[in-house]
Amino acid sequence: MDKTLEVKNLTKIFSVGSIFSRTKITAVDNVSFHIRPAEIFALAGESGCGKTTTAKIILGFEEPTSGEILFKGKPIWTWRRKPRQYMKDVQAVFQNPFETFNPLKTVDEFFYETVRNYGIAEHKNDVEAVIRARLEAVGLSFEEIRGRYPSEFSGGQLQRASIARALLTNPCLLVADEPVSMVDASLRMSIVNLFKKLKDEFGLSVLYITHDLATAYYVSDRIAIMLRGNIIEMGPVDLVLTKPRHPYTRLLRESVPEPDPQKKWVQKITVTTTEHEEYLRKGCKFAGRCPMATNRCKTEVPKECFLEDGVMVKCHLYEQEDVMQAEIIGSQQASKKR
Amino acid sequence: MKLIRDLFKDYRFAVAFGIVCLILLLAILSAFSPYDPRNAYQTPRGLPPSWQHPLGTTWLGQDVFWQLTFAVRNSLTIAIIASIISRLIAIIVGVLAGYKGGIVDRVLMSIGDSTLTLPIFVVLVLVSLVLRQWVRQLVNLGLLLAFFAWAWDARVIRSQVLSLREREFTFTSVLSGMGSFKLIFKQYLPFLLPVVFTTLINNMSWAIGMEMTLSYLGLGIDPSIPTLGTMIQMAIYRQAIFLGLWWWILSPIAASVLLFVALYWISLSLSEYLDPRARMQRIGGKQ
Amino acid sequence: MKENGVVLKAEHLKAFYVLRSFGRQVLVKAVNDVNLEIHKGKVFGIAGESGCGKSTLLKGLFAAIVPPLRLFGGRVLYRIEGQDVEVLSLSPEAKRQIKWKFISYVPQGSMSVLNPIAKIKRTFRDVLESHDRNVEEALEMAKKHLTELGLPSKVLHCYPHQLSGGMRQRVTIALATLLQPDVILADEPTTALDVVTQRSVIQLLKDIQEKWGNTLVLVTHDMGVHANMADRIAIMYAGSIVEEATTQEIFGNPCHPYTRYLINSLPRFGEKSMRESVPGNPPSLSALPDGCPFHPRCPHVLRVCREQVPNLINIGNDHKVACWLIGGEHNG
Repeated sequence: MDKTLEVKNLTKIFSVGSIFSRTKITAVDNVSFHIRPAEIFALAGESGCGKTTTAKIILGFEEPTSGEILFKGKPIWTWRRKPRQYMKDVQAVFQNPFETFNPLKTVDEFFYETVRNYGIAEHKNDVEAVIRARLEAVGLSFEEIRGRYPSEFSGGQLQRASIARALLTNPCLLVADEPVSMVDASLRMSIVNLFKKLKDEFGLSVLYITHDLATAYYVSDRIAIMLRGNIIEMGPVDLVLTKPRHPYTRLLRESVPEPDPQKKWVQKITVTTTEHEEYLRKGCKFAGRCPMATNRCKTEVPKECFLEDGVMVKCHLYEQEDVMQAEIIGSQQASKKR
Repeated sequence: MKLIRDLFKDYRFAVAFGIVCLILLLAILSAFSPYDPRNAYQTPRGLPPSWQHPLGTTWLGQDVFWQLTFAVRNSLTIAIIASIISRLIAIIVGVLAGYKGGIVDRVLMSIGDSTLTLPIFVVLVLVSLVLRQWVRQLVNLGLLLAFFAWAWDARVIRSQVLSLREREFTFTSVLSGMGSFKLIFKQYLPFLLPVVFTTLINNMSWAIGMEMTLSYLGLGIDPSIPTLGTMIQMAIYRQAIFLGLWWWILSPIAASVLLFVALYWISLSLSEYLDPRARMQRIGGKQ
Repeated sequence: MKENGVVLKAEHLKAFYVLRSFGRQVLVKAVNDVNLEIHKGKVFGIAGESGCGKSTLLKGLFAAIVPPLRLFGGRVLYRIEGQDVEVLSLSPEAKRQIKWKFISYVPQGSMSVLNPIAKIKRTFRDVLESHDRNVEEALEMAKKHLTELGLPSKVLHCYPHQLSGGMRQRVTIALATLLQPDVILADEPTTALDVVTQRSVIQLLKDIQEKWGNTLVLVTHDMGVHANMADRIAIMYAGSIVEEATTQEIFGNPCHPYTRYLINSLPRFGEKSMRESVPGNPPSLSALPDGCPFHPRCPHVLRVCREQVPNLINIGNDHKVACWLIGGEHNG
């Protein structure tokens, strides 16, 4: 099977604190996933769970502590020997459109820069034609953008411009880090529909990083849920979000406010007090808040359980259903019999 | 240009600009001086201001007005050399230290901090005594003053660059294929220039002040070269006040006070205008 | 204000930002003739896109109309101890007496309200001291208050940056409710927070309301939050209220085309069918179109919509709409 991006056992450890007390925070802990061509893969979780760090490592803005990332089959460090070649294929869109552009410079400057630096077009007319085409694909016109500063746009418009810029190089992977969190809830659809359209028409793959499960459900094909650096559930989005297995996924899913007065929240939840509390837990990181936590959860880190329908869960509750485990036990028993 | 028109709305800038123009005019007029500034006894001594000698003459037989034109020209030259060279060094060092970080940053900042801790005055005095001939040249004094003036701003620029490096548009620039050089030049400079310009002007005032102080103490520039400092020093040395030749000492003092105030006002109005937040407000108002 | 239970009222409120842009005066009509009645003990939600004026409306309700915002008409009334008080004309000293005790305000991005170089307890102490409580009392009150709200009292000894974003937000809410005000105005308390944190903040606001029976005015663009919290919702567009009804009515029977768009643009679990955002862009508040402000984006626009501003009329069931398509007969 063709994999556009493959992340294997990625780990990133940060050292924080002062000279006298340094703590090691494992921001990304042995994370593995892959993205296929023309697929929208969602990476979801609360803020501070390590998803942005993962994105930065994929883009090359951070170095991993250990692990491997393969792009189109080859390790990233070989790609990054020619950074332009890599960045042509892997582009990004960020959370805050007003920060994505330099507030003291016009928006179209980045467009011209991208086209010229990657050698997409030379002649002035060709350059304009390329930019115009991309802007139309996102629903903006060249006249709207020309000569204007970021502060003259609304968040939604600017975010679309940011996506247009990322598309100029015809990338095959778009890393979108919380692209709609700063956009009004009612306007998120226009941005998210864009991703769908680009996937369908141009075969673009998107790594959609978000904490908004509703849009993740709407637009993505597969999803991975991250908690404090670990992927605790992963699989087709229909299964994971309509039949969540892991207690944390259930919590996330229930916490999405539904625009329906009949479906109000009933249960109360607990929240962490300090940033680092959960990161430093031994055993399962969710044990402090989990309604089904046992003593084992507090001491032993759960391993990955692969379930029948293709979903992966990292939880002690599902050990019996692990098909891989069953296979191993099955083959062990078979060899014993011989 | 629109920039100039906006600046002129601030009365301080308008007045200061006028004064600076006046002073520059004086400096330019020095090219037309009928008298050689270094020679003495070219006119009758100690004459009060008259039509022939607008600011009177000195006890040494020099026309005060034409002396002043040279004085202004030379002082400005020292100031410009000192401030421009120190800005250039500050920008290069600050950007390198901020952008590269690591050991480059540490080394550069250590060097800079060392120059900050040196007692300027003591060093200047020492250099003046030891390298007497060298320091007498205008340009050399300018260079010496530049040596002391870059470290502070290098640090300011460095911290600006450090914060700019973390902003998202830096990532966008990298993704747009911009190399480091282009990134700094095109994207960061608009943020850095305001600081650079205002400190440039402040630096000019400082340089003029230092020169005046050194000359007053008899160190630094060759006293026969007229600068604002040497004129005052000459006047005092030759007992101008005692002799009642108030025009001789008042002219350079008045000129330098005017110059200081003008430079201060310009730097003030410029820095208010160029403040990034104020600029963004103006951009927004275009709708 | 003889009706029972109305605790806060805005009448024909007009508040514009006066800006000077290159020598010309520009009026940004953020609150353009707004009438509201807020009943005691209920949660009143104000919804709308960014830039529609809802934050400004909240500032007006809090009597915080400071330059460049200026009052261009109308009044705001508080019902304090049975008396109607017209707030906008009070002196700053009189306003200060009322603020925090009768009404308090949780601003947008309130996480940054906390002093970053002071421990939380000092911020609490400052608030209490400025309302004439002494130091020991203050600390005790703060502890008691936090415990009542279910927050660990150890946060008092932390610096803001040591707390998680959600905890900071909840601490700010605790701060705003320290003196148990009758009315709480919250401006986008859940924006920029992830879903779990958002839920905990809303939970806190609900707990406070249940405990002390105060009134809550909640401004947010997230209709899901309104569905969970609000008893009554007002939809705001370009400085005016275009629809106002109970939560059930708004979601079950949205009348104004804008409200319909708003609700239909929200994704729901279990449905992957195509959804659309509101097309086009909201008008600039300094250059409002003639007639109904929504008409350039409205799919059912009539000629009268382009010429006259529709009034907010009651179409029964305490459901108010401002649209020429509905209740045309009432408008004549």
